[in-house]
Amino acid sequence: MGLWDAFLNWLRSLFFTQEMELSLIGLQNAGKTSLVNVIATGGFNEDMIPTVGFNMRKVTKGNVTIKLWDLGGQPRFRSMWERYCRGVSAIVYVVDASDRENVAISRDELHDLLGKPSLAGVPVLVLGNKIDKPDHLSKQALIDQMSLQSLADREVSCYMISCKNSTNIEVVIEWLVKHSKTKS
Amino acid sequence: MEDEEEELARADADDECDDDDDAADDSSSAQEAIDDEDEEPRLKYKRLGGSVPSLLSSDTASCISVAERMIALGTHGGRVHLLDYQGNQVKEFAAHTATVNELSFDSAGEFVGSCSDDGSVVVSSLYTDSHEKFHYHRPMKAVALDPDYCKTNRFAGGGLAGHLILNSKGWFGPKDQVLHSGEGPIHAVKWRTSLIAWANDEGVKLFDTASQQRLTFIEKPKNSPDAEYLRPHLVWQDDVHLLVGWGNCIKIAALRVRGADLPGGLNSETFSFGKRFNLLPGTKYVEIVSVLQTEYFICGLAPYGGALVVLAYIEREGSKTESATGYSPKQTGHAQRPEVCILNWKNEELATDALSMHGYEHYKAKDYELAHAPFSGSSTAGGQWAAGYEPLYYIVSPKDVVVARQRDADDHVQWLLKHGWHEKALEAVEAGNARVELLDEVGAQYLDHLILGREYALAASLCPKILRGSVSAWESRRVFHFGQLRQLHVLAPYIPVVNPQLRDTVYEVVLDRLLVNPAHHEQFLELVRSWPQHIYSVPTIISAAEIQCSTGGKTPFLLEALAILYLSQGQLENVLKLYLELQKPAAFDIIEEHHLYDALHGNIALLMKLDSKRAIDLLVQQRDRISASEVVSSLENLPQKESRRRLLHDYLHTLFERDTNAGRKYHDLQVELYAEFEPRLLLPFLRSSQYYSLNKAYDVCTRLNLVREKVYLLGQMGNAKEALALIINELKSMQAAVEFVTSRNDDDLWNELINQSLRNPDMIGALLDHTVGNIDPMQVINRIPKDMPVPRLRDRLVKVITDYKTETSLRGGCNNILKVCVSANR
Repeated sequence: MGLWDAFLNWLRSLFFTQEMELSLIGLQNAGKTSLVNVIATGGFNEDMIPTVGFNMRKVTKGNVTIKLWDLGGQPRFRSMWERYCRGVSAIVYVVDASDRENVAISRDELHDLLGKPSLAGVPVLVLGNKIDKPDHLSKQALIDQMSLQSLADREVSCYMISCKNSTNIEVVIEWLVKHSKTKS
Repeated sequence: MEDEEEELARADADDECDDDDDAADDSSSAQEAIDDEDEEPRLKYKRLGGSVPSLLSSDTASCISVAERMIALGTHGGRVHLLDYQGNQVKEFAAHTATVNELSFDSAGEFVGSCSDDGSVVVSSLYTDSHEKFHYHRPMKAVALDPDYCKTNRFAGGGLAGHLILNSKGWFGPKDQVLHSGEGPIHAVKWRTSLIAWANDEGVKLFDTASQQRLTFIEKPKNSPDAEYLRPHLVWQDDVHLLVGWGNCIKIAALRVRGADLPGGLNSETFSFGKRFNLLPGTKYVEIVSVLQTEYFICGLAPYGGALVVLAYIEREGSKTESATGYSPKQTGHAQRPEVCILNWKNEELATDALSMHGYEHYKAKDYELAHAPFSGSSTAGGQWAAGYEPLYYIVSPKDVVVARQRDADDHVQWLLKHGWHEKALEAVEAGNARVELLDEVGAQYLDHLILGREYALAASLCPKILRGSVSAWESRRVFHFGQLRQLHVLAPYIPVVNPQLRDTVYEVVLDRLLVNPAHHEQFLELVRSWPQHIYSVPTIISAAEIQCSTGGKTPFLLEALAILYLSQGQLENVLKLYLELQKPAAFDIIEEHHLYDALHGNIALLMKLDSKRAIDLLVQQRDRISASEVVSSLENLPQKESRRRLLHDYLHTLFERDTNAGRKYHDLQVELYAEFEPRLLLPFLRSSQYYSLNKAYDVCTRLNLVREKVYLLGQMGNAKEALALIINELKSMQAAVEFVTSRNDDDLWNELINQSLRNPDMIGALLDHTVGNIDPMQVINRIPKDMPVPRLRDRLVKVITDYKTETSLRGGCNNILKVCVSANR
C-alpha cells in the first residue's frame, strides 16, 4: 500500500467512520479475552487470568471502530450478560470446541440469553475456539450441539477459530466489520 | 440474594425497635416502618457486592456516577473505581490525592471526569490509558463532561474558587473559559445536551452552550443549609426537566421554548411584546413546574417514572429548632437511618423505606449520595417499565453502596407469599408476569400452607393446576405427602392418569389406601371405573381387595369394583359370583354372553331373587343342563314360603309350557300350584298333562271347589254321571252338559241328562234348545211329564220342528247330491 493509499484511507476514515459495539460472551476459559487480544494486537498469551466483571477495548479496523465488551464467563457474571448485550451491534459467543463436556452448558446459556426479549434480533456470531487442540468438535458438530439451527429470527453465523494460531481471525473481523453500522 | 435484600429491609424495623434512643419521634418513625410492612414496597434493596466491600474496607466512598454499562465510584482517598453492575472492579485510577467530589461520564461511556479537593479535574479514557489532568489550585467541587466529550473534549467544572469554568481544546492546547463567577463556590454542575446547569450560593443557573447565553436563574430556597453541610443536588430528569434538591426543598424546572406553545403562530402583538422583553420566539426559558417542601433534608434525588425518588436524611427533633440559622454540625453517633422516599410531583409520599446503611449512626446528610440509571428509556407505560429498562438507584454512604431496583412481578409474588397470601400469589403468577418457574415454588408453598391448615380438599383440587405435568412433583411430593397424612382419598380424584402418567405403584398405593377404609370404597369403585387398567397392576389390587373382603371389610362398592377388576382379568366365575351377591341384573347377561351355565348350579336361589322371570326363563331354557328336580329342590329350600311356592309355580308352569314332560314328576304339585295361583290355567293343564294323579287332583279341586276341573277329572275317572250331575247342579249350564254328554257319546248319559233335566222345567226347555243334531227331540218331548209347565214350550217346539225339518231337508238334499255324484261317477 502506497503512501497515497494510506492517505486516502486516513481521509476516508475521517469522513466515513463506522462504529460498532460488540459483546463477547461465553463460558469461562472459552478464550474471549484471548480473542480480544488477537483482534486488537495479534498477540496470544497462554497464561490468562479469568476476567472479573468485564474488559473493555476499542479496536480500529480500517475505518471501523469496534468497542468490545469482553465479559466475565464465570457463572457469577452470567447474570450480567443480558445487560451488556443490550443494544450492541452483535453478540460474539465463544465456545471452547475442545471442551466437549461443557458444550451443553454453553448451549443452555446461549439459548437462555437469546430468549430475553431485550435481545431480540441481535445478530450472533458463534465461534468455536481452540481448534489447534486435538479432538476438537467439527463445525457441524458444534452447530448441532449448540442447537444453532433453532435460533430463528436473527442472523446466526458460526466459525471455527484458533486464537493461538490466529486461524480464521480475519474471517471473524470481516464478519464484524460487515455488521458495523455507519456512524452519522 | 433474596435473603440479603429482605435482611436489609427487615433490619430496619428491628433496629428501630431496639434503639433505646430518647428522641420522641423515634417511636413514631418505627411505627411507620412497621406500617409500611403492610403495604407492598415499591423498591427492593441489595448491597452492592463484587469488589465493593473490599474497596470500602480500606477507603471510603465519596461519590458515584452511573453510566449505561458501568459505575464510577469515587473515594475520599482520591481514587476512582470503575465497576460493573455487580460491583466487580473493572478499572481503578489513582486520579487524585484528596476526596473525589464528583464524577461524570460522557454519553458514549468512553470517558469519566472526576474532580477533587486537591484542586484538579481528571478526565480518564476508559479504553486507553490516557488521563488528562487539569489543575485549578482550589478544591473542585463539581465537574460535568460534555455529553459529546468524544468530539468536543469539553467539560465544565467549578469549586471553592467560585468560577464556573468551561474547559475546551483550543488550537494551542486546552483553554479555560470562565462562564460565571462571583456568587460563591460552585456546588454542582450538570450538563445535558447543550445545557449546563450549576448551583452556587445564590441559586441555580442555566447556560446554553449552543447560544452562549445564560437562560435562567432559580433562586436558592430560603433557609437552606450551608453547602458545607449539605450540597445542592441537580439532576436532569430528561432533556427538558431539571430537578433541584436543596435543603428540604425540591424544585422541578421545565425548559420551555417560547412560541412553541402558541397555536396560532406569532401575531404582531406577542412579537413586539417579546422583543421588548427579550422574549423572542424560539428563545428558551425555564418554568418552575413544581415546588415540594419536605420535612427532611434531600441527599439526592432521581426520577421514578413520573415521580421522584428522594434520599432523605432526617434531622433530630432537637437540633432542628436550635439550628434555625446555622446548621451546625451535629454530634455524631445518633443519626437516623437514611430513607428512600418516592414522591409524586404533588408531594404525596408513595412509599418510604428506611435503609440500614453500614454506620449510618455516624453520618451526616452530605455523606450520602444517590445516583440512578439508566438515564434514558426509563419511562413507564401503564405502570410497567419497559423490559430491561427498569430504573436502578444507587445509594452511597462512606462504607456502603446499596442498589435499589423496582420490584418486579417476581418480587410481588414473593411479597404476597411472605404475607401468606398464597392464593393471590398464585393468581399473580398465573397472570403471567412473573417467571414460570415461580409457579412451582408458589404452588408448592400454597399447597404446603393449605395442607398445614388441613384444607386438604382445596389443596387437592389445586394440585392439577399447580403440579401440571411434573411427574416427580406428583409422585415424590404430593402423593407421598397426602399419603403420609392419610388423605390420599382427597387427592385421588385429581391424580392424572395421562399427561403425565405416573408410575404404576403410585396408582396402586392410592387404590390400596382407599381399599383399607370401607368409607372410601365408593371412591375406590369410582377410580376403578375411571382409571384405565393399564396404568396399574390389576392382580395386585385384586389380591389386596380380596384380602380386604376376607377380613370382613367388604362393602357393595368394593365388591362391584372387584367385579370390574375380575372382569378385566377374564375371571368370569368370580364376576358372576359378585354380581349375584350384589344382585346385579348383569349377572344374567354375563351368564348368557359367556355361557356360564354351569354356574347356575347352586346359584338358583340368588338368580331367582335377582329376577325370577329371567331366572326362570334361563332355567327352563337350560333344562337339559339343570334338571327340574334340582331347581325345584333349591326353590323349595327358599326361606319365604309364600314366594317360594309362587316361584315354584312360575318355574313349573314355564317349564310345562315349554316341555310338557320335563317336569312330570311335579305335575301333582303343579295341580296344587295352579289351583292356588292360576286356577284358570288348571283345566288346560289337566287336559294336557298325563302325569298327575286324578284322585289327588280331584281332591285339590274339591277342596277349592273348582267345578269345571272336577267335571273334567270325573270324566277322566269314568264317573260320567257324577260329572254330569255336577254340570247340571253346579254349573247349571245345559250347553256344557250337552257338550259333555255329546263328547262322551253315551246313550245312558243322555238318558241321565234327560232324567236330570226332567226335574226342572227350565232345564227341559234348555235341553230342547240343544237337542237338534245331538239326540232325537222326541226322546225328550215324550218324557216331559204331562202337567209340567215348560216355559216357552210352543216356541221351542216350533224351533225343534223347524230345525228338524231343516235337518231332514238337508239330509234329503245331501242324499240327492250323493246319488247324483254316485251315478255321475259311475
